[in-house]
Amino acid sequence: MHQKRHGNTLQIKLDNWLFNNDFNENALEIFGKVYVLFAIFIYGIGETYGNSFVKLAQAPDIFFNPPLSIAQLFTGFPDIVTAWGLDILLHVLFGLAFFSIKPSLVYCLIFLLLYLANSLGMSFGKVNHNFVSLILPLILSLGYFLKAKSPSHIGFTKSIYAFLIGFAFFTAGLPKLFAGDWVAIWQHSVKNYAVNFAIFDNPLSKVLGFNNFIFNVSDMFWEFLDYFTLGFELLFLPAAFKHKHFHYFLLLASVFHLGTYFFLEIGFFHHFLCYLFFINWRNFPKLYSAFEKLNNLGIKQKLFFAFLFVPLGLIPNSLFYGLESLENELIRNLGALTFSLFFVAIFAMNIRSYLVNDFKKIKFELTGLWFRNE
Amino acid sequence: MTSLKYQIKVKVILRRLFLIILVFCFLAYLSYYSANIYSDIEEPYPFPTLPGFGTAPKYQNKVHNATVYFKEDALLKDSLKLTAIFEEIPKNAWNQVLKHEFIGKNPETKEWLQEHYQIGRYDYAFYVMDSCFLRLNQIKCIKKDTVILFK
Repeated sequence: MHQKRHGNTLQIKLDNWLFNNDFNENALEIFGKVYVLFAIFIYGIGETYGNSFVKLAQAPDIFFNPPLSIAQLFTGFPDIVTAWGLDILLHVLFGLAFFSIKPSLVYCLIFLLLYLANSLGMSFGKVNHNFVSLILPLILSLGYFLKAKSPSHIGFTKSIYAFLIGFAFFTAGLPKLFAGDWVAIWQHSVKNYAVNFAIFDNPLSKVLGFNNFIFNVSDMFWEFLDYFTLGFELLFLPAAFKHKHFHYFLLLASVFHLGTYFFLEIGFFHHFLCYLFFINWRNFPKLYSAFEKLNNLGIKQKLFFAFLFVPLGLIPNSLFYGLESLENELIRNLGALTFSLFFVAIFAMNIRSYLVNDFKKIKFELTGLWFRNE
Repeated sequence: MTSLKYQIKVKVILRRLFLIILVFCFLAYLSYYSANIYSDIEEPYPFPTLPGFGTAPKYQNKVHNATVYFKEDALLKDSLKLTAIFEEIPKNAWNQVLKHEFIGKNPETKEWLQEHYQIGRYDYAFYVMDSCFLRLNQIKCIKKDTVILFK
């Protein structure tokens, strides 16, 4: 690990933040594999990144109108044969990444393909939040590159990704601040979303009695939520510069996403996977030893299993996609609730050590104060 | 490979990379925010806006061209009418559109929808796959799986 330097100059502080954290080669190795498993089997590529090539190929070319991006080099969506080829290639690349075959190059290629799919997908005029998960393969590519070339600086990947996530939240908060209605005390933006959700007679909101709740609860509650959202999103960026605070914000973010899905019907499920990057993977030594065995397989075996990702990943296009397409909305929502609570529990456990230390510190301060007063 | 000189060189490169990303992010966002995001709105937002000086009356002025239905009239009370804008369309048309996951922002989209779904009485139609912050025709909040129809 990078040696922590002492001093108050900006450069020393920056270096300590950039390079000195708990992220190491083992964490990268574990997360890289967990990421592939989740992206392929739990989410499915189309779900994780919004657009699979096959999905894009089904759109008529009349919708082709990409913004300034690599997609402008094309004149339309890919035809169905090319789209299947690209989707299969993506699955093969994920398979190669899982077995750490040229991981730096492979993750970089995965990023380029996903970037192309997303650029084409932006033709539909959808302003999405996929950037955070889209950039993740590039971050992993950088991580593997640093692992090979300069392992003591591998903490850089964690810091830079924390900054990008913080910045993404910050950019979500800034327009809310300037648009006015989130800060105006007589307008309740969260309530607006909640009403939209309730009015469509969502079965889960009926079970929870949420429809009655939103019309009976005080407007002060809604205004509190407006300000909480603003504060949370704007402060995420400064929190990124302190790893401990960032971990607290990750827990807040996972609870926030849980709330936005169940009360406002805005889903951010792919973000959970991105936040997993930051948890303390040293707590999972058995996982590392299990994955290490996979790395020790021969190259032929690795290639065989890597190509198995194609049929396994494409059928039936992931558990989560299956969950999303369930006809019964109540079962679907309950499935999503379990899924979200699982991640909230992980992030809560992740800050356990911080909480214990902070609690001890507060207790010490309070008892100190009490003794001084005596 | 692991000499001190090499380590320092890597550190300097990474430090510069971070600073480049930092500056790029802020500049790119500022240019996007100022040049692009509100380009569809005739009257710009008051920028910045002080607390208590919202832009809601502008929405009220702008949405009169859109056909907006609310399920319950009670919702038209308070400020909700200013921000909660969405369409409720006949169930058969709804089901038809839901089969296809497209969003169109091109004017040609209208023709495509007219051809396929006979939504000829509307000038524009937007189908939204996910809740988003679409700033077209002053519509601020759009519900997931919603079709917005404009006259």
